[in-house]
Amino acid sequence: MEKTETARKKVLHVMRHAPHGTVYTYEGLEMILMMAAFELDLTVVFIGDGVYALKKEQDTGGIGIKGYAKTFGALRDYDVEKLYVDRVSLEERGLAPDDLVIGAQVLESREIGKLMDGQDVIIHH
Amino acid sequence: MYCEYIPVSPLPAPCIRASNDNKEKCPETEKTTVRIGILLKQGPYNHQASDTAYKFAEAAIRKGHTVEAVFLYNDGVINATRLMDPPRDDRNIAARWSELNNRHGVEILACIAASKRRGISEDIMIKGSAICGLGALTELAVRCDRLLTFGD
Repeated sequence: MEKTETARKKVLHVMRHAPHGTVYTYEGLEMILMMAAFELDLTVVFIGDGVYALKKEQDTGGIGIKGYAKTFGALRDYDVEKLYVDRVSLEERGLAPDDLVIGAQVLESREIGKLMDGQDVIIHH
Repeated sequence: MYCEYIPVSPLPAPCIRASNDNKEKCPETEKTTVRIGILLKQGPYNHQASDTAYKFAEAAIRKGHTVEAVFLYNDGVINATRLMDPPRDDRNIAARWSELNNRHGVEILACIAASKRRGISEDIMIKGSAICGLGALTELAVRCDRLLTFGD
């Protein structure tokens, strides 16, 4: 029992918004990068319009906003390795895993629910 | 006023966790209280989140729970400006947070990166609030029994 209490806390970040319409995803990414510096068991899941944040070949030049899809691709360099994408959300938007900047694992909604159930903290963005 | 980390207090004993598994371990006489952290992601007046978070904190404290801190993120940092000046017949959301700090010691913490983006700095912040790094939120999430998020 003592071991589980001292174990690293499991923190899940849920990305739910398209990347440039609101600041949620960008500031969410900032939070993930910050938390990566702590002794936490981090997971990031992309659902709904959140999957667009990972879309390859985004060009934000025309809207005057700094693009940051590549930073998601670099999360592994910060030891954030558990990245999941909701299958239905991808399909509803005509996207395939190959369209994404990172090799995130595709999960069924039910599995994402289970994943959420096993967390100590869930932060949605 | 600037704080990089909140000091970490020891984790609560398992029996005060509000979980069914642990219920039988709790002596009947012991009151089940929960240590709560709040993450507020919306600005005041524009969205109900500031009001809901405040009402929740108030109710939780009334029930004997501990609200350790309210961490302001995204537009939530605007909750901490003392420059807001609503009509007199309306609630003053910033003053209300300050009062919660004064009465119950609830820390009001604004993320430094989110604050800088939105022109919130210590010299315009309400009494009882502080600018913090995201490390403070991490510590809060780790040491509380529950972290509750308010906002879209």
